[in-house]
Amino acid sequence: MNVLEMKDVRYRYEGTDKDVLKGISIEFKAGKVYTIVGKSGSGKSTILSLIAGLDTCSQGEILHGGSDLKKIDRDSYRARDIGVIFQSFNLLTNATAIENIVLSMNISKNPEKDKKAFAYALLGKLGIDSETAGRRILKLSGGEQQRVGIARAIANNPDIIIADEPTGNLDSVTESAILDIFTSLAHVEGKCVVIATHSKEVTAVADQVLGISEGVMTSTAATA
Amino acid sequence: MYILGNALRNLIRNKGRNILMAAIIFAIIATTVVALIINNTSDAVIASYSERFASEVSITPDMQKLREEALAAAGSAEGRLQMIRPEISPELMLEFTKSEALRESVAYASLGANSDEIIAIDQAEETETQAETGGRLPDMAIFGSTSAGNFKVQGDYWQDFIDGNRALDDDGISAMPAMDGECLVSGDLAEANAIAVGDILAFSSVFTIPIPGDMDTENFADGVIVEINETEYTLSVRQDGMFTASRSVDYDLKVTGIYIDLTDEYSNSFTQGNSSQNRRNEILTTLGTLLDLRKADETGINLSVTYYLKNPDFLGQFEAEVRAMGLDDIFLVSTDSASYEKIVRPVEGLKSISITFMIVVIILGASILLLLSSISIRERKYEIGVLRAMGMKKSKVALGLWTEILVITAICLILGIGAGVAAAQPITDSLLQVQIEAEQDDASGQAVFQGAGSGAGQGGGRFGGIIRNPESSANVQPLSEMKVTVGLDTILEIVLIAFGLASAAGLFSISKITKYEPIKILMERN
Repeated sequence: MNVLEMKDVRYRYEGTDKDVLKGISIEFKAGKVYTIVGKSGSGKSTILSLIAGLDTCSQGEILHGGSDLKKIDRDSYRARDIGVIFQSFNLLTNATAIENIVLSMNISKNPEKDKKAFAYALLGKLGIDSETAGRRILKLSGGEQQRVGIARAIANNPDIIIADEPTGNLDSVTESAILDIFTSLAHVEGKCVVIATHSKEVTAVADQVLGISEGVMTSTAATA
Repeated sequence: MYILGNALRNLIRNKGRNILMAAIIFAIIATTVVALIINNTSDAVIASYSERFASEVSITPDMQKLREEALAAAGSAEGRLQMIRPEISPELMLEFTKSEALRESVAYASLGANSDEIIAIDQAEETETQAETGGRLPDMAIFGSTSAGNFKVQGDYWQDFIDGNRALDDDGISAMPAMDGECLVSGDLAEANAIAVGDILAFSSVFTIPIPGDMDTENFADGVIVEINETEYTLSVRQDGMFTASRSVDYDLKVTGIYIDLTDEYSNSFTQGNSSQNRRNEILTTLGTLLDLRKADETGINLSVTYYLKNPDFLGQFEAEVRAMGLDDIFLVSTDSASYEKIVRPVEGLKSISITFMIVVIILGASILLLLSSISIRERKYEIGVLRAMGMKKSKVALGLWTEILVITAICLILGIGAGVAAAQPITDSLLQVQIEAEQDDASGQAVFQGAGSGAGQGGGRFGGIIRNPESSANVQPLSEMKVTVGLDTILEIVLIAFGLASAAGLFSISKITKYEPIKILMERN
């Protein structure tokens, strides 16, 4: 079942006449891990920002549950239907780890009654203890921030989780742990996980690898 | 609710930025409070003096014109200058109260009266003294245009009740007169004569009328009855040999209540023992009661009317209307604008300074706030981008930022109002002193004396045979001190200004930042 579908999507930055994406069509299904690979500037991050609802395509359409993202409330879509893990984490630095997650749950109107307890439990699952969870973001290591970013992305139980170079700043041990989380989210919890990466290790855990070059899909390959 | 919590957390965790913002807002609020207090107090003072001097009308004889007319007539009077002071009839005085230019008019009247049924306080002693000296009894003596008696019957004179000098007895049955023919008597008088509520008291007074010039005086003699204007009058001979025509008038007044007088019996020591001047002998009734029995042209009632214009600009209209009603050209219609100008000019100067100061502070403060807020918001572009990426709506991001600045403003308001109030009086004193010195330099050589709160408006426009001369503006001095007060209006104004400024500064910056898509903010950051 398609949870997300890109149909002949084109994108060009304002004030330019060159398409960054040139007719991209991809179907994303639940319970699978997708990796998008390609050189820097090939359009990977642009695809992620479009399916994250952070930007809108110039042509074509991106459908979520059959609805074009251009026509729905994208604030609500970002808050509830999709979780984004940014390469540079993009956490609120003046807040603690726990506050970042609780705020995200508040924004999405998460019905959980004890949001704080839920957030502590979630971070605990990701290997962040309660003492670390009470620290401000800038007091955390890169790996801890990445885990907080993941916790924030999944706190509202979205259908789709996207991650932009999620292991770029991590050591190999932490990278492995993070990849286990992603595969578990897809294969155990049935989420659709989309990861843009240069990393072979990440690509190795993907159910399907999407190659992109200069805004055009060059290959789609299912891994064994 | 989480918006407020998030805003408070941001305030606490970004002290440096917020303290700077708070310092600016505090300075704006404190200085604006001082300026507003001065401005509003000045307004109140100016309005009060405008009420006293520029709204209370004086109708006075034009002395220059009178003198010229007297000089013109002097040629046939062997050089003797005879100036007859003109009067306005009570009918005309009451007619003037119908003018559209008036906010209100206050009319009251009094007459001297005697009674065969009750004895006035101090009456017996006085009678004895008079008898010993062989003098005339005070009853029915003609005093100016009013007959003097042992009692003074006041019509519609309730000012003492308003001022708290008199109060209705709390005996449970006393009530103010509700209609003509009813009255109040003092507790002392009631006790001395065993007067009870419901009693009918009989008083008599004397009205006189000028004898028409064309009347045949051949048969005039003391005690002769003559008819003037279809009413019978008794003639009496005055000491100068001239005749006076008068008639006795009876008033039957029903006592509806007892009043308690909290002041001294006599207003000064010169009238001590004179029953007609004893305040406890005043019978309080309605104006209609007194005027009802009076015929045209009769004297005997002292009528006093004070006219208050809607505002000083209505003077011209009022004069036009009273001229049309029959006011003679010999009278001048004016307000005491010269005294008003002299007293309030320093206050107006002070007000002008405070307004200018306030405008400068607000403009300067708003500019600094705008700049600071703009810088602050740009610093927080990343935070806003993250919140938007998390799905927070633009309106909620704006609400959060706005809440932060409003909380800072609310704290600064409390501190700023306190500081402003504390500083307002010394600043006012200092600025007013400067203004007074400037005015005195301008008007050096002019005589001045105490003026503030002197009640110089008392008696403006009063008549009844007595026409008040306007007080000379040379006899007043500029207001020398001004007690500042903080009214609810001042607090509301400062709250509006503070929150208006803070909101404008915040919303200006917010509008700039929220027009970006989150991806752009985050891409710039990254």
